Amino acid sequence: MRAAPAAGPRRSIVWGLRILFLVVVFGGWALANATGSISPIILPQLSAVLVQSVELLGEADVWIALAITAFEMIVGFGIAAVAGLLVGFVLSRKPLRSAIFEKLLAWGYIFPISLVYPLFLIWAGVGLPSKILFAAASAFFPIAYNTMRGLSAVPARYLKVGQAFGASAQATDWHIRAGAARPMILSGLRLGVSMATVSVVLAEMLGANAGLGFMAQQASSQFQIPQAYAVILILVVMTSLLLWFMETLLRDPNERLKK
Amino acid sequence: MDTNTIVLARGRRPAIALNASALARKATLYRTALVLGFFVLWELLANIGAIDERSASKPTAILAAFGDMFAGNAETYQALSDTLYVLVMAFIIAVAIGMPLGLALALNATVRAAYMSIVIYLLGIPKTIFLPLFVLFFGLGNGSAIAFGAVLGFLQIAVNVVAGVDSIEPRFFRVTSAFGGSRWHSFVHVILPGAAPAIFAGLWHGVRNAFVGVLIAQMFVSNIGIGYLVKVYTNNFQIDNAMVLIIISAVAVILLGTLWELSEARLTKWKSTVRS
Amino acid sequence: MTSHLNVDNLEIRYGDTAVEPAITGINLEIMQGEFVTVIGPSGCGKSTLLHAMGGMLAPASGGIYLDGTELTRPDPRQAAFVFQDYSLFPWKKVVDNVAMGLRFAGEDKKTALEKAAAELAFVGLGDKADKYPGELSGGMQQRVAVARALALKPKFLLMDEPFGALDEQTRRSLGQELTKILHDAGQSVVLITHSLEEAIFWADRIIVMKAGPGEVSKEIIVDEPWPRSLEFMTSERFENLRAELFHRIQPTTVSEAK
Ligand SMILES: Nc1ncnc2c1ncn2[C@@H]1O[C@H](COP(=O)(O)OP(=O)(O)OP(=O)(O)O)[C@@H](O)[C@H]1O
Ligand SMILES: [Mg+2]
Repeated sequence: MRAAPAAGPRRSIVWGLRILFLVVVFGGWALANATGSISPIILPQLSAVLVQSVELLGEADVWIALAITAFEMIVGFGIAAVAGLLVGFVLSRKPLRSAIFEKLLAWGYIFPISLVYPLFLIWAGVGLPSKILFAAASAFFPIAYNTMRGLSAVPARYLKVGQAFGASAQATDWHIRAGAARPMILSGLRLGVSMATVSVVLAEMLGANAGLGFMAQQASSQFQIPQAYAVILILVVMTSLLLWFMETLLRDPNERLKK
Repeated sequence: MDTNTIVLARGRRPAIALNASALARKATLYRTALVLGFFVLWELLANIGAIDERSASKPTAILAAFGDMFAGNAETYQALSDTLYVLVMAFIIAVAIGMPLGLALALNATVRAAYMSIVIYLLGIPKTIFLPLFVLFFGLGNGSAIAFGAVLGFLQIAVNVVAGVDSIEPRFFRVTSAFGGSRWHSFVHVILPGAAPAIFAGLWHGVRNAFVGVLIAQMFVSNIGIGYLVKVYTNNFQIDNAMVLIIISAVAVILLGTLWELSEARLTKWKSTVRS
Repeated sequence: MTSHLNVDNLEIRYGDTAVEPAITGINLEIMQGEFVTVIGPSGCGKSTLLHAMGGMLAPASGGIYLDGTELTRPDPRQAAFVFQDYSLFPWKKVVDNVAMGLRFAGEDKKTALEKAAAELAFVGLGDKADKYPGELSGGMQQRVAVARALALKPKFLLMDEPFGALDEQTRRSLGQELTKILHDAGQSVVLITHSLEEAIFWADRIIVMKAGPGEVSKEIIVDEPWPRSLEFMTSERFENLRAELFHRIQPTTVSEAK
């Protein structure tokens, strides 16, 4: 292989491929509608979904449901963030403590927590609290684990620098430990956001009386298919915006510099 | 390990090594005590009525349920084997899609520029949103569970493959071409082994997510499998039985994860020799 | 007939043709069995020249000829490369690293491994065959990299600051040992170095380059017979050569050129 002039991929081809993808997805959809090869009970008219979405956005109910879902996600994540940062911090203070809890927190994270949602329904009822608690429980483990790992695995040489420059205990915590652990803590928080959103949507679909997930599940089980698709579309847009916002908030400033 | 044996021969162990292994042993001991203590406390609180046994069960009742469910209950075995089957199918599909997709994204700059952002986006949004659509397309039963597990799995695998190939330093490709290696050689001798640790990790994330997906789909749509049974038992206030299945699932994932870690250390032994 | 490597009016440009070439107007002839060192200020194009000689860079004009045939892509059996950062594959055992080039050239695994083991013994690492590179010291890793190149029995060995990443001590001892081995084996070598001593002590001929754009500013024959003793290093002739090189590669020569 000889050195070729360094050229990126051709923009026209890249855009061609992207458009091809859209054409395949939506063209396939339209084609299936036109030929009737997929029953409208499964795949409604593309236009019907769009009309339905616009109509839904004119209804106050939908906005209330949207607010409820977003509220559950944000509050669930908020509780998990506070608890996870606190627990992670406390556990990181002593090597023995972190050694004891590292595995437990990791297990908590890989455990398929969705299995216990039915129990949350029994314990906290069908309303908002069960969603919020479930979201908080799912998001807690990655946050606590990463915070603990980040804080207890600060490279010794950084701590030595602190020592050499006569840093106080607080200054060491604040300027060295927190700084060195930040990328890992932030990535824990981002995982937490994603766990919280997944869990809230699941919870609303499995057992709820409010929220967009509940609406989507209702509509599809009553075979109001265009409406189900429309609610799902709204849910996708809403969570995408929420995730984008949280991602921006929780991005590592160093990473931003690298880009 | 070398230093350890050398110093041992002189009759003394390095202080740090001793501390580290002693700490690990102590931690294991405390951890076990903690877990046992948790169950004992649960039992006590349930017995004095501080915890409602009807909605939260208690360890002895769960143990009893364990016996019942495995003694004369074909339903349990059916649920376990159904779930295993669905998981294996989901994982196979996830690998079959995720690996080639990941390699295409990693190796072809045009494909990556066009589609990587879509894959990252799909990885990020909660797939649970689409559960109702899975029911519509794949029906009640195993189909939805396989499909949902496969979707969760393949995205993880693809992204990890890309990360693995990206982590290979360009100098290794330079060496390959300097020594007359073809593109095939660089694939076999550089890309596959260099990305192996990340691919291996990706397969683990793939299995884990496929399992999560399968259980979720079983709870949501299916009338088969562990997820379904947990939901039914809980709704019927047979919490003991639900707890049994939950514990089995937890232990299965944790065991699989541990096994994976051990075999990774073995398969990619070279990784531990690399100094940064 | 002894082979010869010809660099004919070579010009190399990176990227856009509008920018100044990295090296230009280079003419060289290197005979088989010769030990040539290349020295010059940082950025003058030494690595560029060597990569071109290894068939890894396409010339903007001119070319590289081996016994009259143009070298258009890497052919390690003609000219094999030793990289400054070793670049051993961390996932392959040492012996597999050495066998790599032979495997690429289509040799069957057994023969390749046998040859690789022999080559490792040649550089004094016969007992490290089954280790991973990460388990070896920097000096050992560089020996492995040399063995990897030698395993192909190349007509020319191209070495880009092969000892640059090593500490002073290892650099000197390994350098002395390896160059002796290579001389004894009659291996033709083109070696880039930053060290004046290395450039003189090991060379049959020194190629001095200047920057902006990279050109050969002088060729110096070192007709001290082999094997060379350490007394050569303290001789007056060595001192004179050293002084000449020192002045030639000073940054002042760069500004003169501009
Ligand atoms: N891949 C590249 N792309 C663009 N320019 C390059 C590239 N590699 C080298 N150059 C430029 O070509 C010129 C010669 O570089 P080269 O690496 O050959 O110098 P060198 O003599 O080996 O320097 P050093 O002694 O520092 O290793 C420099 O101006 C450098 O900036
Ligand atoms: Mg160089």
